[in-house]
Formats: sequence, structure tokens, C-alpha cells
Amino acid sequence: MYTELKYIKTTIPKEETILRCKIEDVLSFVSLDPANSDYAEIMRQVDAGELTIEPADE
Amino acid sequence: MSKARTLADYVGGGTTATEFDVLDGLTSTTAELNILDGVTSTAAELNHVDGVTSNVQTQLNAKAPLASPALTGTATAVNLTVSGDLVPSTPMSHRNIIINGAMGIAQRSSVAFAHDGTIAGYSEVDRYRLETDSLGEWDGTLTQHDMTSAELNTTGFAKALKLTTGTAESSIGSNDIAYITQKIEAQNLQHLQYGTASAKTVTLSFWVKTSVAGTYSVGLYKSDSSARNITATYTTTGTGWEYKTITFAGDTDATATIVNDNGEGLRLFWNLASGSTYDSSENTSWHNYANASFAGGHAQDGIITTASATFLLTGVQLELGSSATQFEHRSYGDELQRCMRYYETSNGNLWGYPITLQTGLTYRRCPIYFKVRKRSAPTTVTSSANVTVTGHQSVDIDGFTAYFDAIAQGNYCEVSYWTAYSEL
Repeated sequence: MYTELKYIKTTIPKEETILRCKIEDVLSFVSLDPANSDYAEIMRQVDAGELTIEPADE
Repeated sequence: MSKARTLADYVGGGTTATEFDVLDGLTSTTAELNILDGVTSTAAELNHVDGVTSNVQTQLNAKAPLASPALTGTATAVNLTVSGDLVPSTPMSHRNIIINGAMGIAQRSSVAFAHDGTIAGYSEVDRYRLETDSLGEWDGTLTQHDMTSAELNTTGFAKALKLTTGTAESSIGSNDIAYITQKIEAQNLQHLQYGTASAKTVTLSFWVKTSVAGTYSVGLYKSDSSARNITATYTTTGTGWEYKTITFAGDTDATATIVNDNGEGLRLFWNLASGSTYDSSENTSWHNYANASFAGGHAQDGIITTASATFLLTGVQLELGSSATQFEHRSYGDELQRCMRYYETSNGNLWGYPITLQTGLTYRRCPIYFKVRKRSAPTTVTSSANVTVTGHQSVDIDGFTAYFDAIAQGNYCEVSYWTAYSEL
């Protein structure tokens, strides 16, 4: 369901990070909010070793 | 010769035999006759008890007084006009805890569930979701159904949620399960007072039509703190629309508290199929969650094991109290606003052009503002007719910004479509 996961970091207009991925093959941006059900499920799968997230470019 | 005539002859005087004949056949005692002593009622007044077959006072005692009657049963009336205040114990408006109970809002396009190992997701009809586990073959669709005139006549609803099985599951294994659910936000459920001695009873009502007759289960699941759940069963004939009502007691257990936040508070679910792992024991009262009772009582798996089988649902209402009331119809616009808290889309229309390139920056930015504040910072999707969206930023409950690399892709760019969702 979740593929091509990568953190995206931006600095303008403010420094922030978001999670870019494909959900059912659709490019999506997932807020790093524990109440976001996608983020919660992704982190559950990461913790279970089923998913990995590519770190943000420096 | 009658005894009266003999008596008249004996007494003589002014009493006639006819007058004494009136006493002929009299069996009453003096005491019984004396009961009439002092009676002032007229014959017409005494005739008012004509036809009385039981104690009048007992009957009167059973009647409600005009002043401040305390009715204990269900009162019915053809019409009711109230000149003073009407104070019901359950709400007269905003009764329905369920969003999109009439299935009228369908912001997504037709939803098909391919068998890709994980079969779960939101349906074409807003707020309703399919959940499955361990199905090895099944695929199908979850769409909005347009009611025929006859169906509208029967149910009073113009739309329904329709699950259609494509490829059937050949058999239901012990760990298989499939159900349709609506997850209800916790802060909308605090008035149920779960976890306290005052926990409220709720009643679920819905119209259902299944192509396979049998016994199905429906239930509530609470995930907060200690997980709890309760189920009930209903039967369908497999021949047409049927109206069902089910009452669930309030959960007074100390662990039943629904945390007052924007997370999932309760999950209302209709089971479609369940293996023995999930339906091996009944669960008609609230208790700590156990797999074995999640679908307690569910018996008919045919919707999932029969190609082209259908399960239709509409008129879903969950309300306080032990009786189902008439469905609370809300306007399309009102219901759409409620749905947009969880899912909002630009509906395929051109949204806008990005703000002019700032000096020294290579990106163009297109701010997007939601019509309805989201439950949480959402997941966002955009598409553009002529460029690739580089990224999203400042994604929050009120909107987000899509940005493009104008140097790499040219200055002309647009957001032609966006979606934001913060489903439970």
C-alpha cells in the first residue's frame, strides 16, 4: 500500500519535514501528525520492520 | 293466588294488590334494601355505570392525570400540540451520531478492491470503509447505489452503499474476516458518558438488503484505553429491503472511557464474513475485546463466498435512547460539510495558479485553503496538467501549499486537482 517513502525537508518559508510516498500508487504527502491515520500506520509498519523510509536530502 | 295478593287481603287498608305485586319475587334482605337509603342519584346517573365490567376506582387509578402525568410506557398520538415547553430526554435534532447515514455523499469515484494482499479502504460513499483480513481470493467493489423508484418508496432513501463481490472467496478460513465500518470521532461521543455509571444506551437503525439470506452480526468496538466491544445479530430474508433496529446498552465499565480527542472513539461495523477466530463466542454485552467475540453470532458468510453477491445498506442512524426514531434527514450541504472534515477534494476542477516567483527563489507556490477544517493534519494529493508537483509544505488542518520547481519546469504551472484527507 505504501511505497517509495522518503522524508522531504524544506526551509522556506519555514523549516519543516513531510513524508512523501505513494499510496495505492498515488503520489501523496503525509503529515507527521500521530493523529494522521496514514502516518500512524506507516510508523507501525516501520516499527514492525515492514517498511523503511529514506531520509531527507541534506 | 300470589303471596302479595294474600298479604294485601290480610293487610287490607289502602294498599292495592297491584302495589303489593311489585314485591313479588323479591329476595333481597332488609340490609340490602337499606343500601339504597340516602341515595340521591337519579336513574340516569346510576345508568352511567351501565356496561362497567370491573372495579371503577381501579380503572381510574390506572389513568394518567391531566396535571403532570408521569407516563411510563410509549405514548402514541395522531397529533400532538404542545403549548408549553417540550423537554425530551434524548435530542430532537442532531440525533444521528452517524455521518452520511443516508449515503448521499460520495466524493470519491467508484472504489474497487483488487486482491493485492491488503483489502481495505474507504468506499465511494463518504465515511464508510471496508476492512478485511486474511482473504485469499476475494475482490469486489464498494459503491454508491441509486435506488429505484420502488426502493425509494419502500425505504425513503434515494441512495445506498453497495458492496458487490467480484471474485468470491472459495471458503472462509478461521482467520478470515470482512466488515463494513464507520469510525466515529471520539470527541463527538462524550455525551454517551461511557466509563461512568451514567453511560447511555444507544439504538442503531438501518435498512439492509442482502442477496444471501441468513444471520449477520453488527457491533460496536472501542479502541481507546482498554479495547471493548459488543455485538448483536439480525437476520435477512435475502429478498428485499428490511428495516432493522438494535439497542446497545451503555458501557459502564471503568475501562470504557472514550478519550476526548480527535481520534477514533467507536467503530460501528456490519460483519460480512468471519472465521472461527472471530465468531466463536456470543458477545451481547460489553466486555474486554477478544478476537473470538468480535463478530459474535455472525453466521452467514455468503456475501463474500458467492460471486456477484450484494450487500446494500442505507438509512443508518445511531442515537441515544432505547427506541429508534424516524431517520433524521439532513440537507446535502449539511452532510457534505460533515464529510469534508475527513475528506475534501477539488472535485476535478482547476484550482489555481501559483503565486508569482519570489526574487531569488526557484519555486512557485500555490496555497490551497480547505473549505472545512480537517480532523488532523491531513494526507494531501495534487495533480497538475503540465508540471510535476515538487512537494507540499505547511500541510495543516486549514490548508497546505503545493510548490513547483519553476526553473526546471517552466514558469507556467497550475494545480488542476487536489485532495486532502484525514480519515480515522
